[in-house]
Amino acid sequence: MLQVLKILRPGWRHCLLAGCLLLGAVHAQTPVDAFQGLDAQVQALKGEVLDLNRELFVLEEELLFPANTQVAVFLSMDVGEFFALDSVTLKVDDKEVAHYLYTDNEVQALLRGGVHRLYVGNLKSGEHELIALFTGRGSNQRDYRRGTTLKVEKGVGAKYLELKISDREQRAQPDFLVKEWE
Amino acid sequence: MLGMAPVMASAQRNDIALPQPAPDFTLRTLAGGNLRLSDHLGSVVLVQFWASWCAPCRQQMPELERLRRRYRHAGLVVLGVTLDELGDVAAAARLARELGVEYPLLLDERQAVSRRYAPQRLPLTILLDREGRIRAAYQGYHPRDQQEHDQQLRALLNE
Repeated sequence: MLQVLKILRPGWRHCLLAGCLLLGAVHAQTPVDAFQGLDAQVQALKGEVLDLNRELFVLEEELLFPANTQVAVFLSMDVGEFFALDSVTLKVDDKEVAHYLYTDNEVQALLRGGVHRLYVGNLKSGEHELIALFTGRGSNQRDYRRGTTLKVEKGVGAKYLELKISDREQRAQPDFLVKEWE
Repeated sequence: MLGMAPVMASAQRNDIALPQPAPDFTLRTLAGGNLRLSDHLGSVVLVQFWASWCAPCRQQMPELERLRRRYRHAGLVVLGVTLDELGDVAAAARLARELGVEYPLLLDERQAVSRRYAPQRLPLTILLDREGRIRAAYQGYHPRDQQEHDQQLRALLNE
């Protein structure tokens, strides 16, 4: 060891000594320290797994839904005093592509500002018709069913659409809007 | 998901590779509102696939209600998924009332859930642990099997 220290330049020598001291400290630590160290390692590993999972998810999305053909439809709610959401059915060019039943918890999440990605898929360039059917209960506790239609011009690049349910205070009725994100 | 049918088929032979994650679903309840399976993570969940025309199902339902009452405070949730046609839903609700069933009854209107779980004999009873994994699946029902099912359920509740 001394031979090695002599060969090394002073800077490297200090680094090596510091490393040895650190190693000694690790060996000398108590079981509690060792446990805490292990816990930190597990947490770091968990973080890495989550990062990896996110990257894989993004990669999968890019492969399955290339940006050029991708269409995503989101649903949001504003207030919701006049409409209790139950389900949404989405049709693209008269073909059903999504049907979703909302639980009370999910509706609460939407009312707190959450946005639900209802559908993601691929569409060719050109004009497409999008129909959204909403079911739920109206302000008078009666079953309520409403549809809304939008003609979508799909060009090059991804298209993002938002189905928005909001209250129309003046008529005490819910309003169903379709908005294109730029 | 695709492997679900063979898994259920082999459940009768007890040579299945369990546990495996239960496919999640959201269904409309007979009482109104929608229910999502994964909302019950943290509880032991017993899912029964049944139909009003199935005699063993009718036999099993009061037993499941007994289990629900006994173990609900220990974290047991019982759900019944009816495979009745939409026109027979009223009959299913009436039957459940007659049998004193109080656990949520779910309507598989689009049969998407029954296609995923692919019951070959009714009732199909599935036991999920607190992490949402299928730990046992029974096709059909006979009262003599009840004791064994109870033991398995207690073991899951104790985990």
